[in-house]
Parts: sequence; C-alpha cells; structure tokens
Amino acid sequence: MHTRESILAYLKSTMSELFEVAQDDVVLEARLYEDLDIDSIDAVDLIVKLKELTDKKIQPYKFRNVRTVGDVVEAVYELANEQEEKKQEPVDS
Amino acid sequence: MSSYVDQFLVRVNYIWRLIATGISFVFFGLGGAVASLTLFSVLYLLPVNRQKRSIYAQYMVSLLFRSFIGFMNLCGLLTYEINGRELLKEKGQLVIANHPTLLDVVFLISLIPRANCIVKEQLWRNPLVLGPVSAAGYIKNNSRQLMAQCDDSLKRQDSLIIFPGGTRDHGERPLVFLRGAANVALFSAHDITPVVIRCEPQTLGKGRAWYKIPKTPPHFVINILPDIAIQPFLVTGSRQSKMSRELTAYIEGFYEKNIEF
Repeated sequence: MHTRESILAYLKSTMSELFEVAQDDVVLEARLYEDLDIDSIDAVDLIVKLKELTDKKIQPYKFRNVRTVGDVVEAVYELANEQEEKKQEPVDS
Repeated sequence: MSSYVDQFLVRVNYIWRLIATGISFVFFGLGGAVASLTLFSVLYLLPVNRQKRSIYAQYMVSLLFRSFIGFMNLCGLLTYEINGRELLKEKGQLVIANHPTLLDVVFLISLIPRANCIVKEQLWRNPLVLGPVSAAGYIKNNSRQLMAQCDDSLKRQDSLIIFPGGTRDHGERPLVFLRGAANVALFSAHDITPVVIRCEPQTLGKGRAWYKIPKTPPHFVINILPDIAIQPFLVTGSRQSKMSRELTAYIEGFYEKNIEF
C-alpha cells in the first residue's frame, strides 16, 4: 500500500539520485521544469523508476499533464490504488 | 584641426552605419519575402522529392546568408575572421555555438551549405519566411519528436546547428546551457563540433534595439574548434538523464575556457 507520504518520500530520494536535486527542494509545489530543471528526457528515466515502485505498467500519457511534484504524487497514488482495487475484486465477489 | 576632421568623420561614419543598419534590416526582411515568393516557391514546382528540395533550399539559404554578410561587410557595418573553416567541411555535423548576437545563425549557415536548424514554431505562421523554413525542412522547436527529427536530419547528412544556450546570451557568467544539444548528441551517438563566436564591441544582443549600434563597427571572430568526441560520455548502463548532465557540464566548461580566447 502506497500513501501519498510514502510516494513523496520515494520521489525525494529517487529524484535527488537521478537528477542531482536537493531532497529539500522536492516539495509538492515544486514545478518539475521551472524549479527542478527536469525535462522530457529526464521524465522517461523517472517513469522507469516509478514503474519499479508501483510494479505496474505506466502509460506515459497519464503523465502528460503533470507539472508539479504534487501532480506526480497524485498520478502515482491513483495508479497504485487502481491496482490495489483490482487485486481485491475477486475477493469481494 | 585634424582632430575636428577626425571627429567629423567618426560622426559621418556613425550616421552612415546607422542608415545602413536600417537598410540591412529592411533588406533582410524584404529579401526573405521576395525569395520566399520566388526562389523557394519554384522549389515546390520542381519534380523533386522532399529531401532533394530541402537540400536545394538549405543551399539557397546558405548562399543568401553569405551574400547578406558580404553586403554588411561591404557597407562597413562589420568585419569578421573565421578560423578553422576546414573543420566544417564534413557532411552531417552536429554544430553547437554560443549565441551573442542576432547574426550568429546567419554566419553559421553561410559557412555550412547543408545546414538544418531548430526554429521557433511561430516562423511557420510568418508568411515572410514560411517559404524557406518549410522548404529547407527545418525542425520545429515544439515538435514532440524533436530528438527523432534531429537524429533523422543527421542521418540524412544534413548538418544540425544548435545553440545550447537557447536564445541569445545575456552575457551572464557562468554560462548555463540547456541539455538539448547534449541529448541530441547522446541520442544519435554523434560527435560535436564546437564553434565559439565573439563579437566586439557587442551589438545586436538580446533585448537591444537595432539602432543602438556601437561607436565602431563590430568585429566578429568565429573559431571552429576540433570535435568533442561523444564516446567517453556514452557510458553503458548509465541513464540518459545522467549522461546529458555530465556532457552539458563539460560543454559549459569548454565554453568558459574558450570564449575569451
């Protein structure tokens, strides 16, 4: 189970490792391009890492409208929980 | 007495250059429009495929830019020297340069008969330059397939000009480059030909009105330097985001070192 807090913590460590940004700068309001200097090429590497976290195939188009760290957290949160719900379905029925 | 004559001549020369600079701008705009309507339109009527057409168009732009530089030189608006011209003789080179003035791209294209470049998307909506930019197959800066298009261009043996500083320099130091040029070089595993441009005194910089001309005509020095090999930056197993940061930092350092020459 991924909470928003755990996703943000993961982003902090991953993004500082991948993109040489300070962990303290990775906050929900930070804009990826303007504040953190993360471009579309970097996004590809980030999505690979997010795949490792959620263990789920990620459709890049879901990240097309992502602008801030908060947006990434939301997108990953939705994705992760979508997965959880699907796993529980057979149990419920 | 002679100092009065000197001062008078300096004044006359200044006024002449001011007028000639205005004429150059009109000439450039008008020339572009006329060429767009005639030469470049004719290209669309010729029975040639798109690639041939882009080669012809690039060659025509190169010739026009060479004449334009020649015209400005003849009018006494600028002087220039070009060092290492032989290093630009290959086809399909990835050329990067710093960007102090409006004329940098004009100089570079005039030196490269088959040059592609990345151009502001707005120019496709400008009827004055639509002819050349579309015929020459220039790449739109907002394209979703930017990397692939740059790669295609190099594979077709067009040289590709990129200003890693983005739009014209503001003269700030240390230099900060964008990673686009490094990303193209890594994506295509292509060596980089660095060009260092200097213009003294400074003119036609970003945010500077065209009529703010310097007291003496600017002198351009264009130094083409030996290639930066891409191989050492292509690390197996490393991520592009990391490699492009390392390469960009290297290019910044390279320019810091060479820009004053």
